[in-house]
Amino acid sequence: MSSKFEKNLFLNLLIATSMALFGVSSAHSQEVEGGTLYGDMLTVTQDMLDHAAGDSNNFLHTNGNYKQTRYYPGRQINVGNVDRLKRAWTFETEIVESLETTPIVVNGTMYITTSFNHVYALNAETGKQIWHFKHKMGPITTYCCGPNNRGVFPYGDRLYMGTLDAKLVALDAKTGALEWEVQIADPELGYSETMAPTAVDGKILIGTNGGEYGIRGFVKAYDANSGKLLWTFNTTPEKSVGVWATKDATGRDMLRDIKAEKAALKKLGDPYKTLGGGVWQNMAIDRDSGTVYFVVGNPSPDLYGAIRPGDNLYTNSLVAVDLDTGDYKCHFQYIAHDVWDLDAVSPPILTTVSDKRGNSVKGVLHGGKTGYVYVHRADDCSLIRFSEPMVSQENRWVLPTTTGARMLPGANGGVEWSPMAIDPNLNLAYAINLHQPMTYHVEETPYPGGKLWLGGAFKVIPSEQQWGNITAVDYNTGRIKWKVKTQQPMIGGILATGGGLVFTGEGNGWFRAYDSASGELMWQYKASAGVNAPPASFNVGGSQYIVVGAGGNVQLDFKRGNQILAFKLDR
Amino acid sequence: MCNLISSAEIKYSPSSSTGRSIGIERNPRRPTFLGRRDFFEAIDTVAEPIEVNAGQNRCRLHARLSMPSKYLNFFLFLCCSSYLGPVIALADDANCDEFAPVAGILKSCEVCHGEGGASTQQQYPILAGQEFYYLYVQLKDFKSGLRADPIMGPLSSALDKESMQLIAKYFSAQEWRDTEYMNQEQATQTAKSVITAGQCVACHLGAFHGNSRVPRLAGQHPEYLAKTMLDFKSKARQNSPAKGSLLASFADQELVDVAEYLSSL
Repeated sequence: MSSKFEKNLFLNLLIATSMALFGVSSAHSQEVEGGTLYGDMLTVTQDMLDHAAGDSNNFLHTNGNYKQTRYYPGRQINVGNVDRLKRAWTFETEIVESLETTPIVVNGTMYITTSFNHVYALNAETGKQIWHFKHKMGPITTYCCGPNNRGVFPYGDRLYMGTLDAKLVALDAKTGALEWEVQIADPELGYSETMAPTAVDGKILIGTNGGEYGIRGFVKAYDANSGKLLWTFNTTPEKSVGVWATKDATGRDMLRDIKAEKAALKKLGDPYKTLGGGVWQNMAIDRDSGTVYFVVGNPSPDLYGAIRPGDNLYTNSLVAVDLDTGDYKCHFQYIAHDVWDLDAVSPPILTTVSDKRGNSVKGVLHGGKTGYVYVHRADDCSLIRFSEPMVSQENRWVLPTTTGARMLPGANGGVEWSPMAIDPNLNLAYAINLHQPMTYHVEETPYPGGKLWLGGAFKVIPSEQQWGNITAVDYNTGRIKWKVKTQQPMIGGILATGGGLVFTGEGNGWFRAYDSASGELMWQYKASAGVNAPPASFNVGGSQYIVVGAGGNVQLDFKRGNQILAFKLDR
Repeated sequence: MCNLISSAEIKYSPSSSTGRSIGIERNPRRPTFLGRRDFFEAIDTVAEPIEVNAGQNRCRLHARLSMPSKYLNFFLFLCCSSYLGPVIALADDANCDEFAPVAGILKSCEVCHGEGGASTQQQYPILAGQEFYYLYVQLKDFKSGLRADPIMGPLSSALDKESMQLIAKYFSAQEWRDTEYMNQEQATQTAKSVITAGQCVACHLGAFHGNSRVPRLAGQHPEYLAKTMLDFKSKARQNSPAKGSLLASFADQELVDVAEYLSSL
């Protein structure tokens, strides 16, 4: 800890103590419990955000930095001492339900969220609560796969959060008081927010859920001060038909009936208005080119494709847009006219990669629900390579039937929303996988007006064994470097550190560290609920901490809990 | 607004002079779920909606309706003709003025669904404590015919949007009453397998208490649940197509077992 930080912290604590002694309270919104002033230490500048990749004190971005590498540079906790990692503190939230939050840490203060949009500020060193905000949820929420929230984004003196009732809220980071909120879209039509926003250059960027409800997906940019809408990029353009692609990104035939689709197009017209295309996770930002990279989810309805002829652009795609205007730059579609919900959800990562001729270029990585890691050129979104499959590919792409057709990956994918991490020193991308075969059932279903619209059903097969993997992929060759099997399908996320470790949790409560070069198990801790949230790391008081939520997962029905767990070395 | 809060206990957490935390404890064996409990705050966008004492302001329709069954059809006719509403005694709790416009309708609902919607008859679902938005959508669907029902269709045909929201609001704010239903172990095993296969928890949540658009299933009458699922399967009920697709893939007896299990939660 720097002396300046210590001095400021002392002053702030003195102020806070004085206020408490003399009964002074700051202004709060109705929802806030308590409050402590930390002065300017909580102000997050653009410069801090731009340099987050090298900042081992803080964890400012959902995925570590604008490139979304989830590579924490600190190395105090490393392969040589991780066996001495002990629980430092535990914080229990009010809500016992899925925890998918990435803890955000700003100069010793941690911000976490829970299902149903509670936000807590904690002392990152002790786990003690500073304030607690409860969003006043509207009566109408329409969401898929749990009432989750994946965290806040700190910017300036505010925190920004998306809500289940499809709002963007701005909170005072010091007190948790609500400063403003705007309605992003109509929850009655199927819109909701579970992702953390991304803030950059005075803008708050956010996508939307709703691909299971017939929404028209988007990414929107709001003014960080006023909440005014600056631009919207619709993820389903008015001409969504595309090029009638018959093969997926790996070259496998998708068995499309192009003739029937063209006939349907003539009869039904372009389906873009209810075509889905949610954006579930944070976007990567290339600060040099001013480009926003994100991936777009499945078309609506998930399984019944006859009603939505064409490639269904830009569903199941990597898309790049201009940061200032939201104008389209490029895209790459992994699966045209998807009828399996094997879409694109896990957040993209920007890093330097080798192109096909071995030249180093700016690249984009994405872990697809298909179970492959895709490697793209950043300048035109084109595909350089795809990895070896991380999960078995069985019967892909069998078409869904009325009685159900078995396929692996199942609809939860080979990689779900779980963010990947990379170690740029090893050229490895780390993904967590699901081996969960399903049967795919199709049924003709017209648009039901904002209700769940799958056009059939996905069914888990209880008699078949399920498991998970943690997989390290060399993104310059596409080869799998190592793979560790786990007892249950994996969901939640992973963190790589400068200490040569990767951390990730499991549905059975194990939270584990592996040697990032070899996959060797180095450390483990058993939590009381599923550890299905992305871990983070930070340094306060001279100690590096690893922090993760243990709240289980509703999507895979892993045991629910309400704990935030922080670990540091036992000295 | 009417301080309609069922018997849930409202607690004020010690906090700052201006900040205030609100917590509602329901069944202590169950985790806290949000949504229904806060709906009236949001729907009215009232800045200070929680100014009540625990359990003291439960809104009840005090005018009991006693009616021989042979007059029921005539009663229903009057209801759906909007004639009866004005002549039914309004709730006598001053705090319930909010529901005065639908007091007569609510009384007609209670004929089948029981006082406050806490149905004791197997074929009629418990409405008390059900999710507000789910109830509102069902009324809309009854009216539009999307959910066909020979009783509820005519009854809802004369309702406007505001009335439907008030009715849904009234019942959702009542306390869910446990039926203490016990089921067979064998049914439980089958039910759990079906629930796993159907990933039912992903929408209805872990305790099957639902949220907003998704109904509570835990503790509902088994006969009603079984009929509902079988109606989805047979397409007799069509107002949730995804449900129909999923349930069509299970055997009838499996769905009956699921109903038994859910009722026992």
